[in-house]
Amino acid sequence: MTSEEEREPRELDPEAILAVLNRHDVGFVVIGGLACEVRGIPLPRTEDLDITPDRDEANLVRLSGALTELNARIRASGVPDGLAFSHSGRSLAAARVWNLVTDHGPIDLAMVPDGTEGYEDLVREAQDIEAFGVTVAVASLRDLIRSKEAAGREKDVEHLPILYQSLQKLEP
Amino acid sequence: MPQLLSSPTIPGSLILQARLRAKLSQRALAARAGTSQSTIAAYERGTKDPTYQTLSRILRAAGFDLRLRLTPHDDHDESLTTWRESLPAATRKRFQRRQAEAVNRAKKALGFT
Repeated sequence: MTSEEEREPRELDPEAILAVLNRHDVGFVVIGGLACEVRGIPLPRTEDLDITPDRDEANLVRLSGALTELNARIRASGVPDGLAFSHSGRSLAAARVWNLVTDHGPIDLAMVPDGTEGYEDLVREAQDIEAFGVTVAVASLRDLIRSKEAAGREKDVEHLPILYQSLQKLEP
Repeated sequence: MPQLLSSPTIPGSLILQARLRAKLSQRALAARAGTSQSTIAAYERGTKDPTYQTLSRILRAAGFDLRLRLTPHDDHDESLTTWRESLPAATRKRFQRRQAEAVNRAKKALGFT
């Protein structure tokens, strides 16, 4: 999705979110649906941005600053606009997952995605890819597969055959 | 161009996953599992559902066990649904259309039909 395309203000705008994260110098790896999209995997376009941030204390402080600029709220069922919450580098480190909604759409922070050891693990094989107007570290296809195999949610079970076939094509 | 294989059901997706990872054709997996190619195809298409025991047997024939575990509920999908349903209907429709277009583009780029 580009900034030229028609977009409802609250729709996911990866360009806007990634620009804020970069402006705050946040270290992270893009995972999940957007990582698959950027890598050209034929999976349904994602509605949220999933990232694994570096859990270094200073980085989480910068992440907290970015989330403030994004007006991030806790995403909750039955609460379309989300719930306001105060956060800091320390409080962000306390949870494994944060499901949030921002002024530019939903974002999920997965500190330690299933099947991985977190940022240090994912960044090893991540590629810097130019996408949505910025250069971002995107998890490798093998790491995306590894995480989905470990997570084992219904949508992971449905997506894995497509990921395996894509891997065969991209890395024969 | 080969077709991109997928299944609309969980059992079918598990069988397809196992078959792809074991690099088996439907016929070869069927022979190992003591069933027919048409049955494996029906499971993968989602037009037939195996019992749990049958599913386990088929996965075992491909060299895999199915491990089940309970995990605390994560309301990620429900909260995303709440957010999605708060968007105007026209926005949701436009998103679905773009999803389909993006999937087709990616399929073609990878060389799938």
